Formats: sequence, C-alpha cells, structure tokens
Amino acid sequence: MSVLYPRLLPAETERRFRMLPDRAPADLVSLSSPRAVFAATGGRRVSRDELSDLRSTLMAEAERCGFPAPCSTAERIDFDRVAMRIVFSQCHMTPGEASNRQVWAFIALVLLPDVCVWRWPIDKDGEFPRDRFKGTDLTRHAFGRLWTRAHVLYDPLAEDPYHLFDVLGEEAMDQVMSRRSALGASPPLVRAIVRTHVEDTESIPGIPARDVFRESLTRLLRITAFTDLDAAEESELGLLVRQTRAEARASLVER
Amino acid sequence: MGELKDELLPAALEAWDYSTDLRTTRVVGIDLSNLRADSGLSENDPLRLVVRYWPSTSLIRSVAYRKDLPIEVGHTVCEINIVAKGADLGGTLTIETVVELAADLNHNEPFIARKRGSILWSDQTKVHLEGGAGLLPVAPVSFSEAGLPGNAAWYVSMDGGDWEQAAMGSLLILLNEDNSVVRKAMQGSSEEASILWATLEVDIVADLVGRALDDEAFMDYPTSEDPDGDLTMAGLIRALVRTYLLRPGEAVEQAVKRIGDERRRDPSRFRVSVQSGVKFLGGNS
Repeated sequence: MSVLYPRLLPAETERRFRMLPDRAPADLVSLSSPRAVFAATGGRRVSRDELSDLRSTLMAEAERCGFPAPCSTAERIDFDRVAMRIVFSQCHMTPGEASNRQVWAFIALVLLPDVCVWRWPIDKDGEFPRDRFKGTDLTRHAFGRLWTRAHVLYDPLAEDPYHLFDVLGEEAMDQVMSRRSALGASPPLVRAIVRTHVEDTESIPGIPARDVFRESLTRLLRITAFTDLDAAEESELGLLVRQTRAEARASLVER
Repeated sequence: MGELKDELLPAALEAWDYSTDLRTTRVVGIDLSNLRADSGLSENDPLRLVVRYWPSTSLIRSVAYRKDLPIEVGHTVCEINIVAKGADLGGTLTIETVVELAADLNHNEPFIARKRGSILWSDQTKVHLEGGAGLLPVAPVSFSEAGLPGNAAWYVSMDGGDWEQAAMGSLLILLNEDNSVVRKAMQGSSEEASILWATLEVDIVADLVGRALDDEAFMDYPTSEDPDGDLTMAGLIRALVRTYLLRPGEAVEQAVKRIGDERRRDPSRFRVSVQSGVKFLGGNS
C-alpha cells in the first residue's frame, strides 16, 4: 500500500518560508504540523516513527557531509547523491503523491528545515531560494527533484537498479530534467541517454564530452516534436541515442 | 482515419484515488489504404497503433497499448483495452491514441515520414481525476491546534493566485473538529446538519467568487473554450457564477463584471445574491 505524507497548507508554507531568515532552523523542526493535512484516501498515512527515521537517516548523511558547517560543492554533490537513494527507497511514495508540491513543502519546511537551509543556504541575492523549499517547481525542490530523478533513473531490470543514479553531474541531469515534458517524462529515454553517455568512450580533441551531450539533447528534442519514442523498446532507444550522439559529434567537428 | 467508436470518458471522474486503476476501452477503425496513401507511404510500410497516457502532475508517460497494424489490408478494426495504474496518476489524465511508423524507412522523399515512431495521426482525450469528489476537498481539523479561531465552524483554504491549477488540488475546506455541531454533522445526516451544509455552500460560493473578483489576474484569465470540461480554479469560479449568479440572457463575463460592481457598492447585497442563487434553505419553495 502506498504511503501518504502530510501536505503543508499553502498559507503555512508561505509563513514558514518567511520565518527562515529570522529563526534558527532547528527551532522549526517537527514531525508534524497542525497546518498540514493528508489526502483523504489512496494509501496509509505515514507514521511519526517513519518520519523520524527519514529525518534521522538524512540528518546522518548531512552530518557526514559536514553539517552544520557550510558545505562545499563536493559535499553538496555527495549529499545529493546519497539523499536521492534515501528519499526514493525510504519514502515509499507513489508518483502521484510525489508530484504533490505540498508534500515536499512539508518535508523541507517542517521535517528537515535545518538540513534544507544547510544544503540551500541564502543565495547571492540575500534570500533563501524559494523553489528549493516550497515545491513551486518539483524539478528544482531540494528533495522533490531527487525523488523525481530517482524515479526516472531507477533501472528495474538491472542487477543494481540504482546504477544510473550517480552517472551524470548536477548540471547535465538538470539539462535532461528541465526538458521535462519532452525528455524527462520518459524514464526509458532518460535511462538510454544516461547509459549511452557512460558507454560512449569516443573522444575527439577539442570537442568536450559535455558539448556532445548538450548537442545530442538538442537533437533528441527536435525528434520528439514529431515522433513517439515512448513505444520504442529500450534497445531501440539506445540505438537512437547512440546515432544522435554520433551526429552531434560530427556536427561539432564540422563547426 | 476511419470511423471511430469510443467509450466516452467523462470530463471528470466522480471518485478516484491512487488505489483506483483506470480501465477504458476504445474501438478504432482505420482505413489503412487511405491513411498510407495520404501519408505518401506504400501498402507494405509498417505501421503501429499505440496508446500512451500521462498525468498533468508528474507528466511521466506510460505506454498502455501497442499493436502492429496489418500490411496489404485496406481496413482494420482494433479494440483497445487499457489499464492505467492509479498509483502513477494525479491531476488531469491525458490519453493519446497514435498511429505511427513501426520501422525506419529507407527513402529520401521530402515531406514523407521515414523515421520509426513518426506520428501520422493522433487523438487526445482528457479526464480530470481530482475533480468532483477528488483527493481532498474537505478535511476535519482541530482549529485550536491548527491556530485557527477555535469557535469557528470551517475555513475555506485556497492556494491563492494560480487560477490555472486544478480546482480540487488547490481548494480545501477545513472543518473544525472542536465544534460539537460540526462534529455531529460530520457523523450523519440530520436537519441541523442540512442547515449547516447549506450555510457552508453559501460561504464557499461567496468566498471563492469574492476572492476571484478581488484578483485582477482572474479577471485577465482567458475563458476556456470548453467551460464544462474546465476544472481549473478559474473554470470552477466561472462555473459557480454560471450556475448560481447568472441572469437570463447574460454571459458569464458580463455577470462577473456586474457582480464585481455590486460587491464593491454593497457587499451584503452580493451575499444576498449568493444566498438566492444557491436557494439557501430551500429558497422560496
């Protein structure tokens, strides 16, 4: 049975987000909020023990990565890498529940505000990045984006279903997921893109791999405008992505 | 495309949650000869029929049906039965039926499809899953614990400002469990409960329409071409106006302007109009 999570009411989400600059994040931590509600049906409600376990596990990883001291880029990447597995494997959310932004607002602003503030501190504009806390865009939320990425990268047929989780860096993965409706909405296509990126060892001096990756995404995007890739087998998608990468590399050489 | 006979999906399902898988059937008749001829393809070029679906929440697409279509046959009929897993769904579900090329073709003719998966024909239908009695229109809450006025009966909570959101995902009516009358009304029907719910109905219509009238973003939000199928917040407000507040011969946009003027002049008169519109306590019957 799927697990339902508290949904933080919009007004409370805004109130808690506005409190962040003035309060110690640890003071905002709680396992529940009277201003959060559950979906009426569709699963069983997550227990306080499960929420406590989720918090403890993620907090332990944050501490391993330097929490509460300000984190370096390497520590942020390390934390996200491990947190992605934890959030995906421990939450037992259905995709429907995971696409509810108020669920992620609860996790960021009630269950783990201290970890979220540590991972996404005040930016150069002097503000906390709201989309990382409030869930206005799930491809950017501190934890929602990790669940979403894990969901499309999880490879059920592989010996290690998590083997694709750590392949792409933040920027490259962001390029895939930000083209959400065309590319990111097709888990088999995302897996083919990531798998092929690993397997493609061809290297041409002066043509960085990231340029080949970016150009191939642009070309795939064009193809999705008039073709249906969802009905293709994973092997067909692998072939298509390999061909597209080869064409992308050739076009970069010609420029 | 030939004749189509489909099980018409309603604009919204009456009851749905994650544990409810959706099953639907469609019979598709395809004039293969004309389809191939119109597409510039030969009688032997392979085609397939595909049905895919995706919810508006995660946008993750799934394929529910895939069938290679016969070659050298003029006409075919396919009965499509699909099941969409409830756990993957939410918001509005889009179901798309597609006829596409089933293999790469080796030609260089311009304007003729040659890539596997090229879409030759498609048809979409949408169903709101979280409309009507959807996920969570109502929730019992202890107002004293929730920091809301403890002696109140209910609170109409709306995710403000985004009129494009699915209405039932943005709207939540909190009922005060601390209030004994409300608590009793939630447990069963009685005359007292009927009066309470009738009062709540007036409150919901007055609150929601009032909030919309106060927001310029709503006034600028374009009217849907399919008002009956529009279950966004904006669509819900217009439906409330159309159902309860419209005068004979009046368009919804005219009514919105009239009601807005009326509410600015005399808010009590606006509330009276709502009471009359919803036939509060049975109206004049």
